[in-house]
Order: sequence, then C-alpha cells, then structure tokens
Amino acid sequence: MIVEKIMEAKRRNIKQYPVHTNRASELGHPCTRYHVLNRTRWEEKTLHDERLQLIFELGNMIEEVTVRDLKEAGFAIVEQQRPFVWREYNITGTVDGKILIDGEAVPFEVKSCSQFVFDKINTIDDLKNGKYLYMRKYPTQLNLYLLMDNKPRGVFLFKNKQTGAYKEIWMDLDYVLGEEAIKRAEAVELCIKSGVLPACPEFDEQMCGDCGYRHICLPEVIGKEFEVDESDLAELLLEMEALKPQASRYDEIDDEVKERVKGRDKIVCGPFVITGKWVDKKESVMKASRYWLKKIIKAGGA
Amino acid sequence: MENEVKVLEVQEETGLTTITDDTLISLAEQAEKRIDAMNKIKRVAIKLTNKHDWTDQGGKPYLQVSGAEKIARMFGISWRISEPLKEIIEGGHFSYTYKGYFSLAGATIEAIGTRSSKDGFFKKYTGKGADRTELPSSEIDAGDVKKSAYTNCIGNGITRLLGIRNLTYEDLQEFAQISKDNLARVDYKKSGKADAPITEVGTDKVVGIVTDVKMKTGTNTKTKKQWTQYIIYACDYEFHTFSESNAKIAKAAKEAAMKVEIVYKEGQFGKDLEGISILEPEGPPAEQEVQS
Repeated sequence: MIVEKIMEAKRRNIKQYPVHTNRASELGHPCTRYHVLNRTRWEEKTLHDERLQLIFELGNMIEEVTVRDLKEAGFAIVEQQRPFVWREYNITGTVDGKILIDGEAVPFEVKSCSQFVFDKINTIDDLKNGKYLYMRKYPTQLNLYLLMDNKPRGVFLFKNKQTGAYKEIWMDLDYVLGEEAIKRAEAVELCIKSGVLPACPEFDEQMCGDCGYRHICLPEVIGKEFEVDESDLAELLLEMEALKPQASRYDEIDDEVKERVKGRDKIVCGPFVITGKWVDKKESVMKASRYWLKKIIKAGGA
Repeated sequence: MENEVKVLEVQEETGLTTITDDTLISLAEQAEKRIDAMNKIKRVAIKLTNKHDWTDQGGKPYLQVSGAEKIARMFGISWRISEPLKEIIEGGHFSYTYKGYFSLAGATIEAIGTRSSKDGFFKKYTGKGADRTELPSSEIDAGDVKKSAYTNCIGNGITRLLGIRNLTYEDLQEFAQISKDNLARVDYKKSGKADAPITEVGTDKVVGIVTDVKMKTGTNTKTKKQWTQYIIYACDYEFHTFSESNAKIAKAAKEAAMKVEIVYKEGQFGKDLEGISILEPEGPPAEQEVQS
C-alpha cells in the first residue's frame, strides 16, 4: 500500500519535454533516425516507466551527494549546471560542474552505476566500448562539453550504488569522437530542414530493443535461424553427456591423488610406483586471441 | 488406375512436374525432422525464460512481450510491422491497429495488434475521493495506446508463430521449472509499466464482473484520523479495501465491462480485498492469422 502510493507519485513525475536542440547527452546515440524523430516527434516517444524514473531520481540524488563529498574533501566546485550552446550545430548541454584542481577548472560528470558496471569500467575506452548504449553515450557527452568549453580534459566520477564507492575516469579531449558527434548533429539538422526522415537502420537489439520510437520507426527484424545439423554431432553430444559423471569422478580422484602425493619423491602402493618432483613454471603473458564460446542446452526428448 | 492416368495427363498439360512417391516421402521426412527440431527448440526457448517473463492472468501463464522477444531472438524469428491504422470511434475515442508479418523457417503468418483508448487501462482521472472524475478521451495519451497496440502485435505474432499461446503451468514446470507460485500477477491497469506483484498468501480468489464501487468515509474514534474505505461489488460479494488504487482498478474494470480477478481474505468485518487485477481479453478483437 505504501509502495504503491510512492510508485503512483513517481508515475506522475514522468514527463516528456519538447526537444528543440541536439542534446550533448544524446549525441552519442549512433542512430540518426532516432535523433530526427527525437526532434520532430518527441511527443510520441514512449515514456520510461516508474522503475526507471526511480533510477533517474536516484542518479540526481547521487549527484548531489557527490558534489557534497567533493566539497567536504576540500575541492572547490564551480559552474555547477552551467548550460552550453553550440549554435552552429544546434548542440546544447549542461555540465554537472567543474572541479578546481591545481588551478585548472576540470569539467566533471557524475554517474551512478551498479556494482557490475563499476567493476568493469576503468578507462575511457571501457566506456566507449561499453556493453550498454547509455554508457557508450557518456564519452560523447563529456567530450562535447570539453569542445564547447575549450578544455583539454575532463573527468567522470562514478559512484557505486551498492557500496557508495567512487571511481574517477579521466578523459582527454577526443577530436575524432567530437567530429563524429558534430557530423551527426549536422546530419540531423539537414534532415529536419529538408523534411527527410533517415532510413531505418538494421535492427540492433541493443539500440532498437528499448527505443522509445520503435513503434514509429518500425524496424524490420531479421532473425538468425537455427541450422539443423543431421550429422553424428548429436550422438557425440549424447556420448559426452553419458561420460560426464565418470569424467567428474576422474577429476575428483585425480585432484585427491595429486594432493596426497604432493612433495613425496617416490611411493610404492599396490601395483603402482609413483615418482614426483617440483616443476617451476615460467611466467608468461597470454597472447590475445579469439575463441568460439559455445553453450549446449539439452531440449529433452530423443 | 484410370483416374491416376488422367491426373498425370492434366499435370503434363499445365507443365507441372509430377510429384513421385519418393519425393513425397522425402518431403514428409523433411517436414517431420523440421517439426521435431522445432519442438526441441521450443522446449529450449521456454527453458530460457525466467519467472519475470511470465505473469499469471486468469489462472493461466501469460508470456509477456519482453519474454516473447527473448524467445524470438533465440528462434531467429524475423518480422516487419506495417504503419498503424488509426480509427476514430464514438465519444472521441480512437484505436490503433498494427499489422505484422512474422517469419520462421520459410513460413510467414500475419498477426494484428489492436488497442483502443476505451480500454480502462488508458483512462485518466482528476481529483481524489468523491471528487474524482474521469477526464475526456482527448486527455488520453495517444502514444500509450499506439505503443500498446505495437507490443500487442509483436506478442501475438511471436506466440502464434511458435504455437505457445496456450501453454499450461505443467509445460512451464516441465520445460523451465517455473510454477504458478513463482509468477507475479500483473495489475492490468499498470501492465507494460510495472510488474508489481500482488501477494497471495492465505487468500481466496474469485473471477467476475465488478457491478459497483462505493466509497465510505469516517473518523477513527481513537486516533481521530479520517479514513476512506471502498466497497467493491463483484460476484455477489462485497469486498472492502482502503486502497484507492484498488478501487480505481475496480472502477476501470466496471466501466470497461472487463472481468477482474479478486484476491481476498475473510476478515473481521467481511471480505478484505488483497488484490485486484483486470483480466486481459482472450485476444484482440481483430486478431487473425494467415498461413502463407
């Protein structure tokens, strides 16, 4: 009853505002069609749900906490929520603030994340190549602030939502990334001026799956169907499955034997003679490679 | 024998190749193998779902669109959806209909998803308590209706193509070890927005039509605090609740003449309503399936 009321209140907070500019926080989205729809049909966008609203509001609270922690640590914070406009490309944005470090005002963005994400991200490349689209948009956002403010570097402050821990990820001004974002903004402006909606991109689950314009964009989904293998592969897998308990038992015994003979040079037991010695392994770095990760699920039945 | 000869003559005249017995057997074998493979894949696909992909609606497991899409990815189903059709109905209400084509293994079906602003699900209200009134249809979010029709179309297409529309709890238990107790029951008014589970411990359940919803207010003699109680009339019973949102659901169900499932407990003063959910209709009105 209490939670229901809270969720109802959160639902009332969910609103969609008109979009008249190319927002820095969005320009990292790779789909031009999305950007054009965001500008021309923003009122038709599917609104996020109250659970996501809770996350957004938590993010805002975390930003406040982070700024407070920065100040408590003795950092001077300036130009909090300073708006930026790049009229030539109709790009706008609002930086979280600038932190004064050795006389340099460094733009910063506060982001909150899960334990899982927190552990995975350490460099700006981890964000650029991040698993999630929202994460891949972060570098473009901060980079645009750097470009608009003529700053050589900025910093992300990530806060782990589970533990409260912080992690800083520094970013140098990236001209290639900047060029990409500017070109995207130019393309969006051109499409809007000429009344053209860019073609629908190939369906991408990460990008299109949760897109708020999916019901307008109507991307065609091309699935990758199963290949029916009629060779003896199934027999091999069945045999493998049948042998699995024995293999496990073998491994168990092998581990126990290793443990019991460790450090003993020569042993005679029953019909077996066992010798052993210590072998030093050289340190080596594994070469980068790729491998095929397989997952076998038994459907059941014959 | 004469008949057989005649058939062959006709086929030769039309330029069609005769289908030999061997070809038929081979085709049948291939079809059998394909069906067998599909059944296996279906079992695996259901195995890949989890309890969050299903909800209990009217005592039956219902695969949510998110779950349907998960299975579709596994199967490699392809689809394309046409531009929606908007129809204006009486009272300024409107409906959206999407038509989609869903393909797998050379077979394509057509499925439709329809949603109307008349559904209680989309209605909007203003005010509280006795002052609470329904807003006109112009206040209904057309985007919500449209999006809902779209997801309805995708859900219909995928589940119809795979033949998993009428799965039982036995199927779920067997293939995915998911039991009815694991599933959340979705308040239909909020479905697509929240999967709020409703607790069902030590309760009874009825399914029927809400005939009336009344409100009673008073003051607690001890605490001097005001209270508002709602009485929901359904299935020849009176159910009592202090939850305004439950009363809203009941009112929406009454107005839309839709069935509800009511979970209640026998309390000191009668039947205490624990949860109420609007049951989704068996299928959209214009739903159809065309094999090609």
